[in-house]
Amino acid sequence: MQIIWQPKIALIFFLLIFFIIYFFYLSGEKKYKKDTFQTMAYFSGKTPSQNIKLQNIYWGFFEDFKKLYMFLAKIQKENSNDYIFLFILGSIIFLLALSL
Amino acid sequence: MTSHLIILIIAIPLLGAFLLPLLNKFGKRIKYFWLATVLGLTDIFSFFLYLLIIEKGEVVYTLGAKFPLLVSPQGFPIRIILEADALSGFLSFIFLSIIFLIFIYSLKILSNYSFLDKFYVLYLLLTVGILGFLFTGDFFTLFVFYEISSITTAGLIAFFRSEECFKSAFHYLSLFAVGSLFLLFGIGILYSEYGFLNMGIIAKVLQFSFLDKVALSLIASSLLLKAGVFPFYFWKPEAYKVSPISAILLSIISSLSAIYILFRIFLGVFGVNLIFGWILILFSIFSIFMGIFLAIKENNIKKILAYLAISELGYIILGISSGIVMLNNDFGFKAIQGGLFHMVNDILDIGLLFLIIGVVIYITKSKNVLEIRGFGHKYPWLAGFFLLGVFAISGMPPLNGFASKIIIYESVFHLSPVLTIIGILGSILILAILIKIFAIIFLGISPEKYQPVPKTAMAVIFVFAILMISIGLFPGQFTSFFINPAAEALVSQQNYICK
Repeated sequence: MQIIWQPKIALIFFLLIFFIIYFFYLSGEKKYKKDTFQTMAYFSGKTPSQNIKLQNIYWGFFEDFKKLYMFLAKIQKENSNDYIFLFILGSIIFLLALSL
Repeated sequence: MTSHLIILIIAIPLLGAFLLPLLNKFGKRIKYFWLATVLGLTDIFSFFLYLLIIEKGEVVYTLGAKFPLLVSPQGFPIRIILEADALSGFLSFIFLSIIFLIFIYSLKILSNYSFLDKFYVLYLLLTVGILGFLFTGDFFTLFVFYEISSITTAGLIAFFRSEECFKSAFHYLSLFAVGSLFLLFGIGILYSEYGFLNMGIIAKVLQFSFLDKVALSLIASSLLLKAGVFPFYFWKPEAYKVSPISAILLSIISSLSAIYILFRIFLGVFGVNLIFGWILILFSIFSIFMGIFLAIKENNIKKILAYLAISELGYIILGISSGIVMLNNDFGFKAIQGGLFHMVNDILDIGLLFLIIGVVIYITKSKNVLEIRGFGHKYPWLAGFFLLGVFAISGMPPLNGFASKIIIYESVFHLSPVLTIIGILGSILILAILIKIFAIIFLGISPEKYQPVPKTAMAVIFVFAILMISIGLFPGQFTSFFINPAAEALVSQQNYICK
């Protein structure tokens, strides 16, 4: 059986999901109070000693590729000479690959 | 009139650019009216040109005379030749429509800056450069338009007149001086070998000798530099970081037109070459990953989007070059369709994100957008549109990004499943990066009070969103009217350039 992409069915599917989520949202807690413990994050254990910023959410990824990032930063210093050198190098590699 | 449409599309913005400084003396309203007329008229003409091409086939325009007296021994007129087929006609209409919308967006966003008259002169001249890329039929005209687009882009980068802007513009200019020299050398080699500049004649007599390969690598390198993809992407984040949003979007369109002319020359002049196709596939994969890899680490929003623009161009090149490698079967044609379709979706998706970030910068006057919190509470519509852009660029159904990426994934799978896996992985990482940005800027609670969103900017954002949803919901209609004829035109090169 061939399955053909039907955007309209997908849209109906997404709308259905939206209404299900909205139903759960409506049946939620209505006695929500601002500026109380209810707005604070809940930690099921120890509270972290320091805040982790959202910007650093992928810090593990950076740690793993630290050497590669340092190498890339080294060859791209926003410098005209580096740019032109990389361009000429890229063109030579292109030519060599084409001549194979 | 219809026979002159192609030259009018180039001549009107050129005339508009030269008259603009004169009209500037009559006040803002006259100036903006003139700009809207020039861009609107050019866009309408490009649509009529596309209809003409669909009805009657390719349009060839010889500048200066209908039947030139000076002809080559092969019977080709020795003049500047402009050519338009379904592909260049379709791209010119789409690009001009986007350029018109960007102008409307800029009306309020850039209104507080001085030197706006000079900005719009450069804006129109860059439009001419882009159109020249699309319609050129000879190599020398290509070189002229390459120069026009490089110089005008450098001017647009320097628009904010800060030290950083001048530095970036200088870097761009010096790099593209070398790029245009490479292009000139490549064209010079072909001219010295065959004595012609016309693409059609060169395609007929080309022997693909070592010298021709040198010429191809020089021409392709300079065009890939203009496109800003791996390994020539490094100028892009620096230039985008300091440019106005409208100039960035115009630069993305310029990159897309460079990709167009690269494939046109590759297929039309040099013919199908599998090694060249595989080199481009390799470059596209590296573009996808390098763009994403560097965007994850970056903390400047414009640079993040610049890197994502590089990776999106990677998808386009992946689709078209895989299609060329597989041209002997149906999947090849599908892959080319996917690549061309993604050209439109790329400018809409990344364009929407840039437009929204431009509005955030305009409202908050912030130099670092990633320090803003809770923007979505004050502007839920902007948050919604940003999320729409995030989902579209990540290729999530039922939006336009999905419609083109699924064609690329499915067809490229038949060349190598690894390429599809890399493509899907890239899309997931794009989503991860952009969701983080969405959470930083739009979620949370903000104590700040800001001014309302400019109506013109909001209208343009709305139009972009509508187009994205419509294309996503009705991809069949869009592909059958625009993409199929365009892909046919790219593949059937025997109908192109006076062959």
